[in-house]
Amino acid sequence: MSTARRVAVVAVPFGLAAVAYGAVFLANQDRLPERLATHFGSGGEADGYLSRATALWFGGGMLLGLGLLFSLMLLRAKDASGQRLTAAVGAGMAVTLGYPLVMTVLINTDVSDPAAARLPMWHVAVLLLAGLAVGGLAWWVVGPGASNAAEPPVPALALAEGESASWSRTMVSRVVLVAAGAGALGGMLVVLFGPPWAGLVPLVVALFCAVSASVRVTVDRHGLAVGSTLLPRPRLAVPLDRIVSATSVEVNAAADFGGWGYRIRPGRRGVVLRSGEALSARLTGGREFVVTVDDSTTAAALLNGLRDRHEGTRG
Amino acid sequence: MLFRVSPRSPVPLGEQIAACVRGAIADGAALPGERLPAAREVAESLGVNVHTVLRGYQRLRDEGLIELRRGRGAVVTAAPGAAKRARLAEGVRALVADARELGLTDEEFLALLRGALAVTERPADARGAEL
Repeated sequence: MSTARRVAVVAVPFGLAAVAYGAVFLANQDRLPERLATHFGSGGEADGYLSRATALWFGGGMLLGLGLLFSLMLLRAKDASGQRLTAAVGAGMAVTLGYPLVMTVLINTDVSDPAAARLPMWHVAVLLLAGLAVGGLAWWVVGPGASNAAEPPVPALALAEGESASWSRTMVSRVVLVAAGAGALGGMLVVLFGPPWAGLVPLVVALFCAVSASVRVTVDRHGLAVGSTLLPRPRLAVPLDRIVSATSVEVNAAADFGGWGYRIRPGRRGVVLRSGEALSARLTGGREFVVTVDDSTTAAALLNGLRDRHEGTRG
Repeated sequence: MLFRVSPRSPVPLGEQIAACVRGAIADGAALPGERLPAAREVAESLGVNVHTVLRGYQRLRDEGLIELRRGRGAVVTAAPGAAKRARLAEGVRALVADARELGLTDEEFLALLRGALAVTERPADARGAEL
């Protein structure tokens, strides 16, 4: 499936949702109250309101903006399994957002007091099921695509008998550091000016980000390991036994992995702290473990060398 | 940073570890300010004694190539000319190897060096930049 068609899988649902929202809104413009009920409690009663113009721009802007975001992510994604998940999530999201937006306009039509508008809870079940169905359809339409085993392994580093070798490199993530800073600042502001307990969550997130912003990647006789440079734990380790081959790949954090940190994708997982060069290890069972790190070609060559020697001594 | 050591080599293990780091600094693979893995980690990773690694790191510190600080570990020096210094240290080692091969005594070799130093004018502007 071509990239243009994959982009269409998310662009069309978001486009349709935006057009439907705009059309329903404009068609019923004269029959809508000044302020629309836009948020509803668990019993279906209205408990939040927006002016007509704000509701139109907010709803339409959200649909178009997210549609654009998902289209860009699909355009930039290099990995087939990542694209498939992005397309499915995007298409599903278009439905789970478009449906309640259109429903909000419909239930506000012909009411004189927006407080009288009701949105029963069963609509939540409908939008979730519809979202799942459309997401599943997009998943099926996009298909598995080409396997991401395209990159050939890097030539192995020749190791002499009895020679010990170890490769190690730290990598600091600017994105995660910024997230840590923002979380700490936000948490502190909430602690100072709001309920102190509410600041706890951003502070814990900030602490977690700070710990994982700088990692050390090690390749040696034990295999591949990734750990924080600040704390001994947590530490991810892939034993040499489980590694089939290694290579250097280019990854795009947002497009291929949907973000930064420890990422799990179909058939692919790893520590993605930035876009760019990454060490990729193919594991027994066909899965791939990816760590973004500089000089990944040397790391992959050593891993292949250790792997070859390990095979030799065993067989 | 790639460490490769072989117990079968006549060069002591600590020296081999120092040579790996020196080489990386010399060819720009390890940049000024880069943090080296902790001695304990290198030892565990290579399967050698931690004192062996520390001996290698101390050698590099004596050559002015890395800084060892308690708690901060080993960091490639940020002082200017780290790569040149590393290449110089490698060059000196190559000279010593040649001298040994020729069968020169330490005194004979040092005399050669002193002689070469004596006839080479020290550039005046380098005096201020002395480390």
